[in-house]
Amino acid sequence: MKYQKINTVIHKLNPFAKLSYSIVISVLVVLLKTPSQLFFLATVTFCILLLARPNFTRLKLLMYALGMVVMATSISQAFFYYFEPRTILLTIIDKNTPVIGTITGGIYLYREGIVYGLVQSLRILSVMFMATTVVISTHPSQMIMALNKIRIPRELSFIIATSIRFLPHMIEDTKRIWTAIKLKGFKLNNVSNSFKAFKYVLSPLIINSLRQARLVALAAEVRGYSFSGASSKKRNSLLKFDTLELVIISFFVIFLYVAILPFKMGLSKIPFIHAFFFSIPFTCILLIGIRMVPRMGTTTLIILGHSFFTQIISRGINPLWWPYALLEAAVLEAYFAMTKDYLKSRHSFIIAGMLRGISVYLYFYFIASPYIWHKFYAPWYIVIQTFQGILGSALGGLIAYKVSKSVEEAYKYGGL
Amino acid sequence: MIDIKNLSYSYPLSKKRALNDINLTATEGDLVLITGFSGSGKSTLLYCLNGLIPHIFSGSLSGDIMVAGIEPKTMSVSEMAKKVGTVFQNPEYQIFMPTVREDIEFGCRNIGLGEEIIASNLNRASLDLGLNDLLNRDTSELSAGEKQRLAIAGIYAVGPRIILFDEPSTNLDAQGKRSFREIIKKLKDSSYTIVLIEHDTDLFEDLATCKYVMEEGEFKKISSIEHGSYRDKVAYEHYHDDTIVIEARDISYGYDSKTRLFNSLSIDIKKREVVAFVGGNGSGKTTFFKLVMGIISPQKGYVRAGGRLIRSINDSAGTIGLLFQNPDEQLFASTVKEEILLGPQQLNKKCDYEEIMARFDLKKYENSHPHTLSKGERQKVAFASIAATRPEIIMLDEPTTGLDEKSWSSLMDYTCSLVKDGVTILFSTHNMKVADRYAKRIITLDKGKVIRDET
Repeated sequence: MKYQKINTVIHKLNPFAKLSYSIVISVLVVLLKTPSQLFFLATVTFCILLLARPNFTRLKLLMYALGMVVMATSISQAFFYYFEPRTILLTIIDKNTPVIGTITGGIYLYREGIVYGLVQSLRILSVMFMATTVVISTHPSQMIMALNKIRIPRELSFIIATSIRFLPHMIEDTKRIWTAIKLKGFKLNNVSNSFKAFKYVLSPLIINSLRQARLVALAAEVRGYSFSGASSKKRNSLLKFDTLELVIISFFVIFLYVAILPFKMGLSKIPFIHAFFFSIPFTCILLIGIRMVPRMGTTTLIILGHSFFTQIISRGINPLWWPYALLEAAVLEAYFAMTKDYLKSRHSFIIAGMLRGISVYLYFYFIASPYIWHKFYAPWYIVIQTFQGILGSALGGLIAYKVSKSVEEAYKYGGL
Repeated sequence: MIDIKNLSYSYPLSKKRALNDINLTATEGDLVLITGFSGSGKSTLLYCLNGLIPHIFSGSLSGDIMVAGIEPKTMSVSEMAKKVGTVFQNPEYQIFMPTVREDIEFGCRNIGLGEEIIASNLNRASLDLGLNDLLNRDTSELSAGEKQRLAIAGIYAVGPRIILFDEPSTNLDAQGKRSFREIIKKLKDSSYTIVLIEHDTDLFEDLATCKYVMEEGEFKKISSIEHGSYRDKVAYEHYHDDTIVIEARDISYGYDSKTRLFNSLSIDIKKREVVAFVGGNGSGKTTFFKLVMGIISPQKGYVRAGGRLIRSINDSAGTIGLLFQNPDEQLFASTVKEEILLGPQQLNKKCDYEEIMARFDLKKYENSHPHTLSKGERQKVAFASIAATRPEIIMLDEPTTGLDEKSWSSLMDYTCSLVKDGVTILFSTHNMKVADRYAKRIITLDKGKVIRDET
């Protein structure tokens, strides 16, 4: 979803009102319990969405996506439902099957689970209606102003604005570099070649962006925007980033968004192993970013910047994601603070990657799913998914280590 | 307004002086034109004027600088921005806000002007730079020329009386350059003090009150810029070959029929030809190259290159090589050796590695990281890595942009030397000097049509 330039009641609303709207809906999503309450919430958010007059083709796409969500939720809940009484509709694996049956305790499709899934997916629907309403009716720069009103740090606001500004430019750069690697003769028809291409592409992408970051930072300085000079009065003692570092962080926020786009479109449709494919590029780019600006606060700025950035431009402001981002950042910050090692060695890249994987997936399965979305997962499923996430994150860390080494060599010998 | 006496500077960790004993004075209404090879210290001089040196770049600075009655080292860069505006080469990197209005206001807000003053400055800047109809547009949707004007407007709105320009016309086509010249003239006529760094000095010659050539951090006499700049046209007569190597037939391309860029365009190119594509921004040069490469496909018509029908990049990879405007986007490996061998490996082609290294004089960099080399050398490595795959056709997209004459001559010399091996060369350029000297055939495009085709 993207901002639509039209004029409706919703478009005219104060962006701060829309920010408040998304916070209220998020709270309600967590608090409301009964099917009728949830149905009411979904209906109201849908009507408000219609007031913002979404473009018909986009609405169709959204409906398609939501249909998939509802289906996926009800199917997954049909498997994982564990309240009694429950009626078995279909037996996939009997609990007496040797090995698999013992581990999983049997896999059955429960009728009550389908109904439960349908009801619970109303929560997701409400959030998506709300998020879409806000995103299509609020120009990114208005939303940044609203966020500034709730006093997000000036550094974070600069990062969000800079990432939005440079997104189209970076997408062009990334496309050209992809074209260049294909012209080298890389055929992306198998997994190992794709990984190799991914690794090769990152190096010019990052070196180039570091070169550009310097020019952008100088331009910001001469336009009076400074984090390094004496003029920034409200200096926060913890965040002592200079302009160049903040521009670099902004570019990594964009890369996180760009790199997981293909994974979002294609690979996340593959059931069961998407956790693995999704974790690789995300962890890899995040860790390279931290390595480029190795100090306390970088991790938080990249992760929060990315969270706000994607919410403003496409996913819709959604406070329910904020604790997820904060936790992910906090775990890594704590690791770096304790070891005082901002990714100096290969093993610290891998450990940091794995820590990210563990915290994110455990949060999702033990906090977000049961308490926000009220969805259930069987223990064996959680184990498989978390394990994949950790494995993917570790692999992402390993690639990040190799790319960082190459980038730093260029840096050390004055290539930038 | 500007008074520099015996200024010398060297960057941290560098023994060489980037500026050596520079003296310069300029008053209101003066236009100081500075030219010189890349890396000669031109930009460094600007950094001394706007305070980036010593506030952002440390290093050792000596001599006296007074700008608008102030010593830059005594004032922060953002305070200094009120007195001295700086416009850099690429407007892309100087625009920060999502909309035109916000971006013009950006600088004003940063230095803490009041809302009323901001409104009047916004008004003045947008009128004077012809942006008043674009105020609510998204900055990412602007054309190259509009971005350039916005970059200037953002500086102009703050209200400095001195404006520094660092190679501002690099990314502009002929028409863009002319309108940029008008802006400079207007500023000069309203008695702004201007320092302008330019490769293309002819355009501003008559406006300049004084002109300097920078060489190794020193000002040289003007005469030294002219030396050896005239060279004969390269002769290709004995490489005649009638085989058609690129056949573009009845190509139509565009998003919809109204905005269609090409309407049944046909171009044939013979083996061993050196063809220059010239024309303004949006004339279709780059799009034509993309069609030939198979990066995009035509809605109607077809392209055959090197005897193959081009439907996607997979058809052209190995047959056609493309040098990007920014060679850094095609350097992937961590050593020059790996870089040269990467293409041949992936394409399963034989590569005479030693011959390539000797031909391009790269043996000494064999184990260096490509990105640690100078810009000219990086371009050479990118080119050599293309040549290593032995393509039949090599295309260069605006290869001379931002290069001084010495650098582009060297690039074009080694590019065109491949003609004797049977390679066909296509390049696009804004620089007619390059086209005249190196091309055997010049094709002029305008809005997707061939308006001139001369051999």
